[in-house]
Amino acid sequence: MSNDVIIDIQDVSKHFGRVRAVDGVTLQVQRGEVVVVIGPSGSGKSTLLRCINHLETPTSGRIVVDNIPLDKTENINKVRAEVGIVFQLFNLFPHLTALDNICLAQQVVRKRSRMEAEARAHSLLAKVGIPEKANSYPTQLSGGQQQRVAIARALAMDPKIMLFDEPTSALDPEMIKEVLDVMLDLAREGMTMVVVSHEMGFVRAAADRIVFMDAGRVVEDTTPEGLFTAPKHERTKLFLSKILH
Amino acid sequence: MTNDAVKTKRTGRLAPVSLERLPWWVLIVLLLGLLIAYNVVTSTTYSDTLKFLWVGVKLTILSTLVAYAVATVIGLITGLGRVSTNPIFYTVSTLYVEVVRGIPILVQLIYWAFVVTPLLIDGVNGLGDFLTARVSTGFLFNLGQSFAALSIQGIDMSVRGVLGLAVAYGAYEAEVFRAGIESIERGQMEAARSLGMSYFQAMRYVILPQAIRRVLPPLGNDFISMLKDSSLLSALAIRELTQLGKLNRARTFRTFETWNMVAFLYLVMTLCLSMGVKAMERRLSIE
Repeated sequence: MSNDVIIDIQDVSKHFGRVRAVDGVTLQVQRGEVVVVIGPSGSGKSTLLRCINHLETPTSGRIVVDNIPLDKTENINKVRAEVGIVFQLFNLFPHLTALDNICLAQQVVRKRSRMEAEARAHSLLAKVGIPEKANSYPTQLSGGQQQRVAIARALAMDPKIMLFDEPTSALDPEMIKEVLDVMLDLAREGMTMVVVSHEMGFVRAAADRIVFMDAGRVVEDTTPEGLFTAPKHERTKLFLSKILH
Repeated sequence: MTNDAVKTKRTGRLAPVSLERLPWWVLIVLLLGLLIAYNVVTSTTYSDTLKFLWVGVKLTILSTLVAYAVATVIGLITGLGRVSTNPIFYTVSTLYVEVVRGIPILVQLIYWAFVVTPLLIDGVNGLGDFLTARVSTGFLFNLGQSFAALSIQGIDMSVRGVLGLAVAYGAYEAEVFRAGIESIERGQMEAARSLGMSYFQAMRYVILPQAIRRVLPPLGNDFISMLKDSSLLSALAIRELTQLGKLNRARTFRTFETWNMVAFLYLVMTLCLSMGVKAMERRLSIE
């Protein structure tokens, strides 16, 4: 095991009643790595992702993020400030402008001054390509723009890891690219990313590793080339034959 | 109907107003209002009644405002308790809401004025006696003396009544706040928490600003209900509008005029308020 492991998931399970959403998953992510998690719906990939910043509390197992074990409340809040997450449905704060969406946690959690937070927000809005939308409310933005504000909001906390939970699934086809471009830029800059997505273009361009999950378990953990050219398991082959046309 | 409309357009006459669609009830209320106003101007019985009741109108408004403000604070705190995962906070809040909502407000007011307040006074007196027996000088002694000397007459009936009304309505407002908080999508709390905010930071900066905007109309309706229920304070002989109505009738034996006037004054207040609430609803729905 290399000692630059930033996310260490050991034998983690998450049960909802009798359903085993995640069933004994062990997974390590290296610093700077881009890991894409794929799998059929209900395979536990989103639940696993949400365990990493404790939006879901694992039923059993151990997760260590950047050498901080996720066991005490204070540690959970510490980890959450280090780990950005982007949701399928954006979850922007509708009562705040794009700018305030990005400033709020900087001021409240990072205790930055308003001026400092605003400067950071403006530069991030420029980075995601919508500097002119600072004073727009979420309802005035397209889905793609909202998702880019959500990415900027997460980046404003200077996270060491970014999690993406199906970031393009709720978008119109022509808006998917603008969000993927921002994610590609992040990957190129060396951000550690765990992405739940079926965007094979992104997988080809940016993924270092690809993890295939089924029924709460990791079935295959390999490189993109390995997966596309020589999938080992029948279940993986079946799934790929359905999503690659 | 559509043919008529087309015809009107062609001939350029004013569009016909459907008689059924006119807000007749508004016209009838206005007519009644004019009738009362006419009586006030022409009849000394009416003008005299209005003059006598006016102090009551002011006290009705004042006690409603104070009780409502206190009820809102109680309701917000209890509403937060109702959605809390802390078992003690949740249990205390739920107990309060269920008990208070199960007892008629009139009974609660009487209970506050004649059971709770005397018990509290007894308690404070007892504490005062205890202090003066143990300490012989200094601040604690003085405090003990004033505690021991506190009498039931020191707590004005209107204070007891307004507090009782506030406690009674706090339970209803708690449920309004709870519903508002629960109506905010789960993703909002998740997004806030995932940015490292604590539960209370997320509540304060993300959930409550949205929830309160959503519950403003029902809160406005509660204000109107409270204004009407403040008439129950007359059971404690607090000189608000209804109580002054009773006194005026006893004083003049003019039953019809008195209660016409009282009902009309309440109606004016509540109609104005409900127009305000409607305007607020319209503004919020545009946003």
